[in-house]
Amino acid sequence: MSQSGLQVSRRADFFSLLDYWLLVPILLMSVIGLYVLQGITSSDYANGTAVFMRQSGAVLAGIVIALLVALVEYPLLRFVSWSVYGLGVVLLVVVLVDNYSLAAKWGSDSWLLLPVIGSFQPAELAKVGIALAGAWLLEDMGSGRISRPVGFLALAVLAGVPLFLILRQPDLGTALVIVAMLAVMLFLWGIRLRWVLIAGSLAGLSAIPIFQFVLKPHQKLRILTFLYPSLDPDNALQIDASLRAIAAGGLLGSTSDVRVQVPVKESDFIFAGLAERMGFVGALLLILLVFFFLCRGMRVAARAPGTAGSMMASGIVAVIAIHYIENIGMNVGLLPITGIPLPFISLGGTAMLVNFLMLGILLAISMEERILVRDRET
Amino acid sequence: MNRKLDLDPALFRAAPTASERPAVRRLRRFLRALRSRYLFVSLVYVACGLLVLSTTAGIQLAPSAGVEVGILRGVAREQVIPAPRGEIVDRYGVPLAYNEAYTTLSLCHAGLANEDLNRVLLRIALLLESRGESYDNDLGRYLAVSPVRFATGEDDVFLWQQDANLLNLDPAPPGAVPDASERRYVKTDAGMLFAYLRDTLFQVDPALDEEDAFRVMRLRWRIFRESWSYRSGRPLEFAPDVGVRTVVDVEERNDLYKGILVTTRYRRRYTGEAAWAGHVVGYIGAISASQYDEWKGVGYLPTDLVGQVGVEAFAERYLKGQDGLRPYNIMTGQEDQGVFLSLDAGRAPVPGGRAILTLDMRLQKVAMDSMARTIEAILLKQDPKSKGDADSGALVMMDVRDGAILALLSYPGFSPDDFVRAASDPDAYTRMMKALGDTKDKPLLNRAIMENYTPGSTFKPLTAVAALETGAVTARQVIRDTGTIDIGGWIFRCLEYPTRGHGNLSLTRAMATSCNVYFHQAGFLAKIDNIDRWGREFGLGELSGIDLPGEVRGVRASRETKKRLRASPYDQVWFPADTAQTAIGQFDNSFTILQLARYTAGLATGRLVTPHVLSGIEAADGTRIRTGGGPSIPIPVQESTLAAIRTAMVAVAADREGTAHETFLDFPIPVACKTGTAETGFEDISSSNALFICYAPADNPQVAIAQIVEKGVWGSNTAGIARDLLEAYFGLEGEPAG
Repeated sequence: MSQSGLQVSRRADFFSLLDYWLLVPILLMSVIGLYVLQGITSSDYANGTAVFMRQSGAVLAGIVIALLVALVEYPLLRFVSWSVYGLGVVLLVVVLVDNYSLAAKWGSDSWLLLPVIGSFQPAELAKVGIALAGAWLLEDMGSGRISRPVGFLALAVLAGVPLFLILRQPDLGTALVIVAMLAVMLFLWGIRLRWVLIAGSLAGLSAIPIFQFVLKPHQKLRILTFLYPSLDPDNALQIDASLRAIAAGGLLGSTSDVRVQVPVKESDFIFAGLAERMGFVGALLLILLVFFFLCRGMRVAARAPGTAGSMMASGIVAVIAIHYIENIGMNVGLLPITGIPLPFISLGGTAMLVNFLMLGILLAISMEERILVRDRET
Repeated sequence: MNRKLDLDPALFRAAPTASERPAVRRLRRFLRALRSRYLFVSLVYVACGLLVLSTTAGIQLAPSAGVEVGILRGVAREQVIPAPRGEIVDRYGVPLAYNEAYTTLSLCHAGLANEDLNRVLLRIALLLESRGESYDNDLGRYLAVSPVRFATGEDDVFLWQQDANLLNLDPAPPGAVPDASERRYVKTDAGMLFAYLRDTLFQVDPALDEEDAFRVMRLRWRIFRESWSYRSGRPLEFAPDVGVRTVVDVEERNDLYKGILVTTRYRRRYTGEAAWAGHVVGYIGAISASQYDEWKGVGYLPTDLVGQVGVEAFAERYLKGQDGLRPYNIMTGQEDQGVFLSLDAGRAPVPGGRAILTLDMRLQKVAMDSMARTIEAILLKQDPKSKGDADSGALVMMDVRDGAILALLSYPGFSPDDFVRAASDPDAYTRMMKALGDTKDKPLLNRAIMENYTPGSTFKPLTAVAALETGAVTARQVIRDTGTIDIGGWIFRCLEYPTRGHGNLSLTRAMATSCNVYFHQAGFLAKIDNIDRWGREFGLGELSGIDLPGEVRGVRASRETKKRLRASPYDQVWFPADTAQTAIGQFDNSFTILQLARYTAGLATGRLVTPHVLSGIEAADGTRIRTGGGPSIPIPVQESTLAAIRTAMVAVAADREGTAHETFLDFPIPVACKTGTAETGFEDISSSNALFICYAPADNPQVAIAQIVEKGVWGSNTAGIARDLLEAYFGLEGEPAG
């Protein structure tokens, strides 16, 4: 392999080695997302065109980032992983400093206002950072470079610090995604089933005290409203509006000029907007693309050379899978409302860039495997 | 990679042998693959995906799903129906506090199409204007029509357009030319802003003339400002007070006024009579942070008005009532769009309880007028001891049998109505601020229960009780007043005859003439601990438990009090002279007028009653939910003692030498009374306080009165107020004297 850490020597082969089965579904999803957003922003936003253009720019920038990251080789990937993690944690700390955060503008204190980039949510980056850095830690534990107890302790600290900062914001949704992602990674890494059982029962046992004492009233309300929709008119109204929008879509999409008003239709409830505009056909198309992407991602994870590659890939796939399931689930009234957007679709520049960063790493891992196969064959 | 395989031994186990048939081999491979954790996780993902996919299909592919979901899952919106606050009336039902109903109009989200909504808004705006009724005009602060112009300075309008929570426009960068159809830049002239709001933002029918368009825009602006509330189904109030005819129009033609809700609300008002007893009735005001903390659990809102003073405050929880809720839904389907559907009866508002006071407003008025007249007379009277500064007073008239307060006056007073009208009436505001800012007369201070006064000679009956009960003095025993007396090395003088004294004094004559020398001696013989004990028995320096907030405890002179109030150990020593001073109601003694009234009632009946102004509280259906008053405790005093003191106090009015003789000359009912002239310690700059206590009829007591005129010079000066009250109580007004 090249000394530079980039696939420079195989640049000529770059496009032939690129995993289009991963790339194309995402590109299609992004196009669908822009199409839906265009409809929403033009009717609901005072300066809709600007918002739409900004989002389109984020998608283009994301594609470039993904292709660049796809060039990265394993040794450099290790460095990239730790850098992403470090940057995420640093930004999570910076967001605590009032002058930079947008606490005044939004409910929770989780946004950074940076020059050039604009508003930015560090938890997004930290999430990926934990998956990447954690993967390398798991590899070191597997190869015996680090002993098991030390390794697990390191993993706990690695995940615990950003989790604490995120919970403090408070952003329960992202924290839950991180915990679920780590669970999937550990499971795939091969942790013994008895530990899975113990952790599962502990989580079950602690659920009630956590609900009683830890959760904030609005978080409790969301869960309770989910279980008993009549409890809070505001939250129930959100679900109700979402369901009406989805229903209005029918098979081929709503033809009416009047759109159902759904709060946060451009982000958390964009699936409702998609289903309304494109109907069941659109929703089916989206979900099939997601299926395809996730299965392909799992295939990459299973075949990746090295534990770190497998773990990185499975962490990334887990994050994206959880986002899709939770977001669509809450849109159709199956799951409680959390502020989790639909990857590659929802409005939001940071999230889009981070998603493409994840795609880029998947592509890099996939390419590593393809190079291995090609070298074996030749 | 190896690690992973190690942990999944199934992948390594039993490599297929050549002898196995291909079918078996395929099956084996499949079972092995099933054990792969990667496959397991993938299957979980797929299963979740299938679940959301099937749910989506269920929602979208159900026939006419949209309408059904809308109705079946329609979230019940709730309209709050305010409960009227309970009235406050006097013992005969004379209203003191009541409510004025008024009606407001609100807009709620009816899912109307844009042009329908604009049509409804124009209709209601024209209706309101034709009736001369006002409606939301926030937009009018920035924009005006005929001709279209800015209603305020350009800079203000530009800044307002940049408000991120409202129009959220940016200042146009150099080179960019803002116009009415784009949604990015601040509109730089009035016409452009008008056109932007009308055509781009609110899409008002271009056929409307400027003024009609502006009417629609005003209300659309109201919605725009709180669009989130509006869309989540909360009604937005836009017309604060509309007449009955408007209400009838809106309710009868609700097909024309879709989405307009009518709500009845209440304003608290106080009658003219309430101004005679402002301290008792009280008033309501914005809930304070501590009140909100205490009551938020029982349904209070940060915007509520709650009782701040008097019965309004004391009986807050009874007067408040409970707001009702009416669930409703507004249909958004094609055919019945905008139809208002009341889902069920909801919860009816529970009106607050009606507070019935023990006050008799007729007596209250007599007390107030008489107090004012008396103060005026004192100011006019030539008197070497008067500094001409009498200005305020307090009075409590109580039924001695149960402690029901017939009149409770603190003069000067205030009108509670000013406090609830201040927001809308500039005159009332001026009067309220004057009352609040008057640091000299302090009209808001309830002098009858919140202020301590030195009782002066009105304390002497208590000294007599202590002396008689301990046997230090008997009723018939004669003490000789030679003009001076030496108690513990201190020489006290007789005020009236400093050189020769009153001569021989029995209790009766001593009380009638209010001779200090007699009571110095009697108190000295009775001892301070006994005076202290009997003071407590009669409720002096003790909280009375009256049902009004803010009562103070007072101070009873005693050895402990002296120690508590003085820092230096030398000053804390009790001297016999202190007892002598205490005996005539000076020294540390300091009581509320309410305590004096309660003590006077105790002298009349031998029982210590619980004073109260609330006779009871009635629910709307007339059932009594609370009865006023409290225990009446017998005082362990001998009937003979009370009889001796009664005789002595009757002499104050009846005897030729009595200090209240002139006032009660020819009064047909026997009155037991005592005057008091209390030195305040500032006699060089102000007059002494004038006090008076009495009960009547002396032989069958019904009422007791205690009163003070601050800086009223002589207790005897003020006895007339009590006489006026007794005349009114016994129905003797207008009878010729004698």
